[in-house]
Amino acid sequence: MSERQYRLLLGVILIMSLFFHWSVMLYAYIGVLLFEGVTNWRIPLLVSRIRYGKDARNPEQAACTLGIPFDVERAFRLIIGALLVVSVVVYPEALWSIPWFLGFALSMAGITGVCPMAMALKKAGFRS
Amino acid sequence: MNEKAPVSDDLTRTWQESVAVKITAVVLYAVVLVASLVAAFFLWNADERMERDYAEKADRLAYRVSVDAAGGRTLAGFSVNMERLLPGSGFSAAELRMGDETARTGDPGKDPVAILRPLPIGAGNACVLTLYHLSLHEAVRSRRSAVFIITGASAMVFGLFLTWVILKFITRPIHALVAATRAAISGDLSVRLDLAREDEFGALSRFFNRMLERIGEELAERKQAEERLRRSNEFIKTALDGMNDGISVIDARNFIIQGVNSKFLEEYNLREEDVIGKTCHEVTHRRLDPCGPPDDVCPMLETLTTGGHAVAEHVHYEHDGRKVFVEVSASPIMDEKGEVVQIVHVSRDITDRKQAEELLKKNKEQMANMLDSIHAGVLLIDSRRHEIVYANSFAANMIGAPRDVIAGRVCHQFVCPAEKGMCPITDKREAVDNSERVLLRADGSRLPILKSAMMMQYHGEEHIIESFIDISAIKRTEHELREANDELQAFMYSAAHDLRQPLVNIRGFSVELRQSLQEISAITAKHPDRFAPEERNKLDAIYQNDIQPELGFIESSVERMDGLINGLLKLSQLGHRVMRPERLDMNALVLTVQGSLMHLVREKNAVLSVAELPGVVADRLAMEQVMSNLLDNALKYLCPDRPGVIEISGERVNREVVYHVKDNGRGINRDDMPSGR
Repeated sequence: MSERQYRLLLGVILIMSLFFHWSVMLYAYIGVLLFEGVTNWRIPLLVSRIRYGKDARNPEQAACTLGIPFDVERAFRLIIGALLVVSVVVYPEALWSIPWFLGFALSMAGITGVCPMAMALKKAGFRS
Repeated sequence: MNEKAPVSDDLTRTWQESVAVKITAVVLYAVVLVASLVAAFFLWNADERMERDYAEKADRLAYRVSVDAAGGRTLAGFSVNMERLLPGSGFSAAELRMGDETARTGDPGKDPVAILRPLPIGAGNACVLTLYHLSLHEAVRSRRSAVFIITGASAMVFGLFLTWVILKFITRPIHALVAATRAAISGDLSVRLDLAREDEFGALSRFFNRMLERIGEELAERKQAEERLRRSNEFIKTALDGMNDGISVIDARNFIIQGVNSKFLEEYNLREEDVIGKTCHEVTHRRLDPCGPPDDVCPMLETLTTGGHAVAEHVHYEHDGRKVFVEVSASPIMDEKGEVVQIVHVSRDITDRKQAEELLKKNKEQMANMLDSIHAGVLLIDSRRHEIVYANSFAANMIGAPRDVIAGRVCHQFVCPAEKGMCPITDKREAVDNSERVLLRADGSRLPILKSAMMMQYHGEEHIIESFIDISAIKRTEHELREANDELQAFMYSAAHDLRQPLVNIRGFSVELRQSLQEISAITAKHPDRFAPEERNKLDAIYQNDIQPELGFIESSVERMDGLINGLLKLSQLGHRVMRPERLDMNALVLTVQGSLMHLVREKNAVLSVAELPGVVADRLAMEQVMSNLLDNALKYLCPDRPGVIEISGERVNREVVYHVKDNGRGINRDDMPSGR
């Protein structure tokens, strides 16, 4: 499973959770994202290791240019998770549109492969 | 251009990499972001606005219901009326209470919110309309979901449309351009873009096509130029390798050899890798420093100094150390600034020439020694300028001047002084062989010489070689001999005259003696009895056998002596006579001679036959004398045993005429013939 496919999955799940008011699913979703971000045990990586072995790498992974020792995907997950926590748990009425935006953004990132946040993080120097 | 960029026409596999998808993604991000902001803006305090909306809707609905019920409608009519009004009103259910009766239409749902509106109908009975709608929280959430779902669906549709548009108008032409470019990169320059569009892509396709045509033309020109260059290089290499001189191209800065032809390698018995990169003096002179005067004048240094062509003779060394005499020429190759950057070094093996020159020098010395040893003067003269090139020592002695004075002078100053401008060799083109000429000596005296001259090639030019001997002694002897001869002729003439007189006396007296003896014989014949028979017989015997033959001997001796004297007289006259050559008709001349000798022909009973004789240029009297003598001798000495036959004939042999007088006479005894003939 590639990060792109995983993003599409994340986007679809987020939209469905919002549309069908699956609150538990939404909290679990946030939890998984934060867990992945904190531990770096990311599901695509784990799936790839299960499928291709211990040394499997993300095919999209490239060399770090600026040398910040933190993966883009970890940062990505932490930021998404943090945004969801803020918008869903802390200010649900004021920031109700952020989860929807994130859902559609993740879906489009999964479909098109263009993820502005990941690109910005890479540009900022995070390890991809 | 990024060669690693995935370029493919298969959009089913690479659609995510498509520019269209990326542009679409960026646009959709913007759309979703804007939609989120707009939705957040418009749905701000949505519950309050919805509450107001519901209140207003409830008022309007209550008004409609009250208007419809103004005619005294019943609850049943209300239900029917509400079923018509409720859908699309935003309310889930409506309930009308008239007194104790209640009529409800629709399902209020879970946790509904009720709005009560009193209706001014039903006199005396309170009539209240209760409208139910969902809780505001749920309603707001549903609206938000609806807004985002619609926005998302619209964005998806718009994205697909945008992608299609971009694909149609941008990506496909780009793909076509990419495919054409890839084909061009693969070498297929015949590919063309056929975009019937007038926009930027149409212009780009035309530029692309023109660019390919231009590249094709330039490639063709380049191929032609390369072919020409290749042929030129092959021609130059073939020409250089075919030349019989060793050629090398040398860097003018450090004398390092940069290229050589095959003859160079052959001359020095080296391989190309042994030569390239080494200095010329290292390869050809086996020395580490460049050649320099006075031993070896380097023509390349001269070329570097003067910028022109330079030639010198050098001794080079082959790989095995053998000396090679070479003529080295250096020609400059200049750059655009006019500075000498390379030098073309041409070395020609002149070892054979040097050996030939040495041999020639030796031969010259030997020839000079030989010519000096000859006891005759030899001059070598330039036929064009008539200048004396060489004189041997004998010639110098004869002329009376040193050789270096003679050399370079015009030949007419010494030989043939009277023939200036009439040189038989160069002007008249005649052969001069043993001709008497005069040599003008340095002191002004003249020396008679016997000269021969002939043309010869000397150093590739025509020269005259003249050889002559001093004949002044011969001339003196000849003069003396001529004087002696004159004296001898005078003596012979006088002797012949003096001898003729006694001979006439002898002939006369012998005739008288014969007559006297005949008279005595007649007398004795008259008187035969006066002599005894023995005496008579003895007298007859003496007369017949002794006196008659002896008188005959005297007469014949006189005749012979007369002939000798006549011959002597003629010889003396011949020496004085001046010859007058003229063209003679020999047939007429022989006929005249024959007439003068006719009596002798008849006497000898001989037959004289004369063939057709060729004419000749000669002295008439001398020829008559010769012919007369020959015929006279032939008639005189015919053989008495057979009839005489004399034949006269003549023939031309080259430029001479030979006459034959042939007889069948006694011939000449071999012992009487002069020896050696």
